[in-house]
Amino acid sequence: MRRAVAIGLKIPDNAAYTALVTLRRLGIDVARVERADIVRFADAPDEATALMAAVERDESLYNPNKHRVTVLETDAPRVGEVWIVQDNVDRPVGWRLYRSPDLPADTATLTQAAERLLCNPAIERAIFPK
Amino acid sequence: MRGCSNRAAHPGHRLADVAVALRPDELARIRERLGREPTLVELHAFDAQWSEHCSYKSSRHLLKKLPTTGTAVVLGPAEDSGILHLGEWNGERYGIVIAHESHNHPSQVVPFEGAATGIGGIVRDVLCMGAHVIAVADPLRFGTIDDPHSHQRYVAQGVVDGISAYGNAIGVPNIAGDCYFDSRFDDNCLVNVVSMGIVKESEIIHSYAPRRADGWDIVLVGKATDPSGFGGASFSSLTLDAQDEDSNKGAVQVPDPFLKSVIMRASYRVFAYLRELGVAVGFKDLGAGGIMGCSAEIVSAGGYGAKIDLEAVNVAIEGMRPEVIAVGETQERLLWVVPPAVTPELLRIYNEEFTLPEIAYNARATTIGTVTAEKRYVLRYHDQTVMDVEIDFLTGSIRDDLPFTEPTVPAATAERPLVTGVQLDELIERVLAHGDVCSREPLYRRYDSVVRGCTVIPRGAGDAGVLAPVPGSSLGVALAVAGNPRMSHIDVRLAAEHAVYEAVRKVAATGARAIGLTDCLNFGNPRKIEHYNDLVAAIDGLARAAGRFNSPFVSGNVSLYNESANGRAIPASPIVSCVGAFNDIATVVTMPLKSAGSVLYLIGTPQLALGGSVLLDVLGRSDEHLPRIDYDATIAQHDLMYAAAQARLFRSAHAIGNGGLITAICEMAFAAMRKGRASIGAQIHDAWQWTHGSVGDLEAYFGEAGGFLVEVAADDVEAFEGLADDVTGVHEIGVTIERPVLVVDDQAFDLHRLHSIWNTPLREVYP
Repeated sequence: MRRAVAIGLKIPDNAAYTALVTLRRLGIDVARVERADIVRFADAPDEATALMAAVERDESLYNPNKHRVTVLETDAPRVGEVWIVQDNVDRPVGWRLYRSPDLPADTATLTQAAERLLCNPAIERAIFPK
Repeated sequence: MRGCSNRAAHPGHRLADVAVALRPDELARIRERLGREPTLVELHAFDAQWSEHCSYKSSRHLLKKLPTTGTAVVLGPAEDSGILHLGEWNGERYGIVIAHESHNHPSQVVPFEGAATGIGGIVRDVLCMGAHVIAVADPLRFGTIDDPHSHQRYVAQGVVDGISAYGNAIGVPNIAGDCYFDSRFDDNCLVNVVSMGIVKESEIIHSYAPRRADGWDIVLVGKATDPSGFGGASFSSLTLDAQDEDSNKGAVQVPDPFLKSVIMRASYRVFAYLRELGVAVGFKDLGAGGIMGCSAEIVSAGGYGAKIDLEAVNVAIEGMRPEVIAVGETQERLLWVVPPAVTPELLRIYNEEFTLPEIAYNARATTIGTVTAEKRYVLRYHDQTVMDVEIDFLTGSIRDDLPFTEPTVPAATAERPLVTGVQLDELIERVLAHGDVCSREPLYRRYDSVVRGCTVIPRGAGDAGVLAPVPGSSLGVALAVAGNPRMSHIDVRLAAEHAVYEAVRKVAATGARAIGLTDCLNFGNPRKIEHYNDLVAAIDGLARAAGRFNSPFVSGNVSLYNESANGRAIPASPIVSCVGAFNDIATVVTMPLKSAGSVLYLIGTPQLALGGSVLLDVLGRSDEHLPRIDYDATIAQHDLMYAAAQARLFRSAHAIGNGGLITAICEMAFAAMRKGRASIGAQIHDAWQWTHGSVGDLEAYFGEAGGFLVEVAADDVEAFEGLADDVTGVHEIGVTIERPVLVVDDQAFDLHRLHSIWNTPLREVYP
C-alpha cells in the first residue's frame, strides 16, 4: 500500500524557527511551526511498525542522533500541515503550523503561509489537507 | 576552604554515572586541592577543562618542539588564532589570521551537523581576533565509499553537505582542501577545518582580558544556551563506538549559519566602534567547555579571575541545570571582556541594530559577569555559589607525562630493484581513477569559492587557493593543505616532514612565498604507547621540516582518541596547512596549460623509493621506504620557483603529488580544458633523457618524491635556464603540443578519454 512518513528533527530546527519568526512578521498568526521531510512509499508494509523499522534501517533517511520518524495515517498532509513539492521531486517538505501550542492551523492560514513564504510558485506547488 | 552550596558529587560516585571522563587520579587531585568534594558543576567544569581537547595535557609539552617564531610571525600559537604578517599597503601593516581545528568525532556521529559546526567554530576563532573572515579550507579523510549504502558513504556525503551549507550561508569562500579515502578511516573520519582572516595589525583584538580589566564586564553574545553540545569537550576526547551513538547525542551541536552571518557582521560593526574609542578589549570564541571554558581562559590569560551569574545567561529552555548552562557547547556564541562604559553600546549594536533576538530564539548579547582581581573562578546560580576554584588550577595545571620511545631517524633508502613488469598504458588509467587522484570537482563544486569577490585562484584551479584580500592593493595570500595517510602508515616522522613539504610546495607552485604553517595532529589513543610514539615522531618531523623551510607554526590543534572501542585507530594523520604571501598578486601562477609550443620542466628529482605512492597501491605492492627530502636542493628549488614567478617566466605550474608526474601533466591539461583550451596536449621526452637511468621509467612517471612541473614559453627558456643554472634537479622533460593527447614513450593517450576516467569516480558519490 502507499504510505508516507514524516522525518523531522529532534534537535533544534533553525529553519522552522526562522519560518515562525518570518510568518509572524508577515502578520500570519502562528504559535508554532514544525518541519519534516515527507518520504512516500509506493509499496509499503501494512504495519506502521514495520515501515518505521524499515525507515530506521536506512541511514540515508534516518539518523537516530537527530531525527524523529512519524508514520502518517494517510498519504496526504495532516490537519494543519501543508506539503511543499518541488517540480520533479517526489520528496515534499511538510510544514505543520499551529495557531496555539496544540491547535493546528486552519486551511486559510496554511494557504496564506504557503503563498507568502513557504512555497515558491516558480518551482514548487503546495498540497493542502483534504 | 571556600564553601560551595551546590550539590556535591557523592564521594563514591562513579564518574561514568555523572557522564564525565575524568580519571580517578584526576578526581583525587581535584578533591585534594579543593579540600572538599567538588560540586557537580565543578566536576563537569574540570571534566571539560582537563579534557585533552581543552588542556592538551598529553601534547602541550611536546608541541614546544615546533618552531613558532620568525620574521613573519605577528602572533604565535597562544590565542584562538595565529597571525602572520602579509605585507604593507598605504602605510598599513596587514596580518593574516589563521586557525586550524578538527571536528572528527561529531562528524562521524552526525556528519552534516558535525562538519557544519566545525566550520562555524573555526570561523569564530578567526573572527575574535578582530579579523574579517576571508576563507575556509577543509582537509577530509573518509573511509571506503564503494558501497552506496555504507555508513562511510553516508558520512562522506553528509560532511561535504554540512561544510557547504554552513560555509556558503555565511558568505566565506572555501578555497582549499584535500580528501583521501582509506579503509582505515571507516570507523573514524577526519574533518579538519581551516579558516583565514585579514586584519590590520594595529587593530588586532586579543583573546585575553587586557591590563586594568578588574571590574570589567563579561558579555556573552549569540545563540541562547541549550543542552546541545553538553559534554562535547570530553566527548571529543573519548573513544567513539557505534553502540554509544545514542548516549552521545547530547554532544550534537546544532549549526545556525544564518545567525552566525549576522553575528559576524554585527561584530565587524563593534570592531569599528572600538576603533573609534581606541580601547583594548578581550574577545574570544566559545568552543569546548562552553561559557565556563571561554570565560575562565580569557580572564586567566590576562591574570584575572571571574564571577559569572549563570542566571544572567540567555537560555533556550527554562530549568536547565547549572552545569549544562556552564559547560554546554551551544554553537554561535562569543564572549567579550569590555569596560562597563562600553557595554551599553555593545549590547545595542547586537540586540537592536542587528536584532539578534529576532533572528534566533532568545539570541542576544547580555552581561553575565565581572572580571575580578582575585584569581578565582566563581559561578553563581539561584543565589548560590555552585563553583569556586583557583582559576590557574582550573585552566593551567594539568599535564600527562605519558611514556614513549624517542623517535629514531630511519636508515637512508637502500638501493632497490626498479618497478618492472607492468606497462605504462595499464597504469595511467588506473592511477587517474584512483580514489586519491581522481577529480575532486564533484565534491568542491558544492562550495562557493568566489563569494566575497576577492578570489584569484578558486578551489580546483591551482594547488593552493589564492585571494587578493585587501581591496585595491597588490597584496595576495595563498592557502594550501597537505597530509598523506598512505605515507604516515609507513614512517610517521618522515610523513610529517612530507606534510610540511607538500603544503609549502603547493603554495610555492602558485608563485607565493610560504610564511607560516598550522597543523592538526589526528591520532589514536595516546595512552597506547604505539600511538603516543606516533604523535612524538610526527611532531619531531613537523619541527624538522618547518625549521628547514623557515615556516613557523602559528596555530594548531591536537585531536586524539580517534579510535573505536574495538581498538581500531586511524592512521597517524598530521595534517598541515600553509599560508603564502604575494607582494604583487600579478605574479600569481595558475595550473592550466596555456599554449602549445611551451617547454615543460620538472623541478625536482625522482627517487627509487615509492612507499606510500598511488602507483604501488594500484599494483598491490608495498615499499617500506618513503622518498627522502633533500632539504638543501628542495629549498633552492623553491627559491627558483619564487624568483621565476616574480620574473613572470611561468605560464603554468603544478606541484607534483599523488599520482606523480604523469598525473600532474594530465591535471594541467584537464584544467586547460575547463578554461576552454581543449586542444593543448603534452609530449614527454623519453625518461632516460632526464633521469639518466637513476630511476626507472615508472618511478620517474609515477613517483611521489615531490617537485614541480612548470610550463615555460619558448621565448623565456633562456631566462629561466639562467635562473636555474645553479639549482640541482631542473630537467627539461617535454613540450606542450597543439593536439589533445599525452605522448609518453611513443604512446599517445587521448586526453579527453583520460579526463573522463579521472572525472568520473566521485560523481556517483557527490551527484
